[in-house]
Amino acid sequence: MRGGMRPRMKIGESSYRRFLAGEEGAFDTVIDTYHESLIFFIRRYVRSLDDAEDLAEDCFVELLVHPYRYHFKGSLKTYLFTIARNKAVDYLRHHSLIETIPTDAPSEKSAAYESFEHRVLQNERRKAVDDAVGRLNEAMRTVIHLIYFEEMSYEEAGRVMGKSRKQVENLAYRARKELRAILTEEGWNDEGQD
Amino acid sequence: MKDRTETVRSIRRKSLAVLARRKRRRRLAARVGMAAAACVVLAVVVLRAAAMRRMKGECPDDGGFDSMTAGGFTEAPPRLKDAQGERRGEEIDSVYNAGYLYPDSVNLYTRPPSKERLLRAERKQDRPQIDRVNDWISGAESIAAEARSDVGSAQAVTYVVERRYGQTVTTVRVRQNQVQFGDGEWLTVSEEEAQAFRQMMRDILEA
Repeated sequence: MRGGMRPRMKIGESSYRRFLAGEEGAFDTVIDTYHESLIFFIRRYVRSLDDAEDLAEDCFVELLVHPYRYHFKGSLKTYLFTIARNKAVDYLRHHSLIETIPTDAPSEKSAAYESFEHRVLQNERRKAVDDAVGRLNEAMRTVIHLIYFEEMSYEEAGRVMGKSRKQVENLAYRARKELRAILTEEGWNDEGQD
Repeated sequence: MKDRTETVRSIRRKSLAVLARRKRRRRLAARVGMAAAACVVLAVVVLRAAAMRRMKGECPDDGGFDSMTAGGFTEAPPRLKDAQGERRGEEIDSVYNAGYLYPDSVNLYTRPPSKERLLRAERKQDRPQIDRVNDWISGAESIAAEARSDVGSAQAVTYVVERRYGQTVTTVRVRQNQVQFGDGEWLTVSEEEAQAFRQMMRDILEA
């Protein structure tokens, strides 16, 4: 599952440097690089796809309004996902949503979102894992998403979640255990794991 | 879901709105800051002017500070009755009813004599009484007034007015038409002179 993320991260950071240097259109590249991932991540928190889109846009607005807050110390992806998580948590707090497992009824998804989901999840197995992840609590959902869907390191995931590496490791271990139980319950076994 | 163009347009539009809001907030903060600074300057100017006026003695209260400790009658003061009728008693009662007499209290009122008090005394036509009053209060640092009922006497109320000169305290007591300066003997004075002292004490209490 890991690997293949380095080029995307490089594109994002180099585009951002070009944006800071004043190059026209460079910021659009940053948006292209991270927009869908952000929506997918925020969707773990909020129920509505429209709200997830709005919040994802707000992350880029934050970057545009405060361009020099990102110092290139960690990856731009980690920085954006940290903003995304904070905005999602604020959104939940503001809307007083109880942390429940989001279950999308098929009729809720638009054709555009289905196409997006298909692009991101690609196959049925990943889709099953995605549904199972949706049944975890917020912290486990987040750690699984960041490590397995966004292919972040434990350190990077820790930075996004405000936790130490050890805490993230423990959380990931418990989340995997929980996921295994859910998938087994659903009829998926360990064969053909990635 | 929005398409790419819509997304980019929406992000740019939101950014411009946020930046415009920040600019407006900064301008407002600058204006508020300037108004606050102006208020501080104005307050300083006004307070300084008031302080200057007080130093020059233009304020009506050019004396020092007032200190009052409350005492109280445990019972109503006796009414003075004598051959001249109840007029004097009524006079005392009216002052008592106005809440000015507290026989058990000390230093009801400590205050240097004011110009107004002296002027009121000067307006009186009877010079001997005025001279005596002026002479008595001049130089005093503070004057305290209290009223006491004579023990065992149902007919007199003594007004005690003290003048302070540093550590020295001089007292004048007035009862009916008798006056005592310090520890001297009681002097019989004219009705007008007794009235002048009682008036002086009332002025002190009322001021």
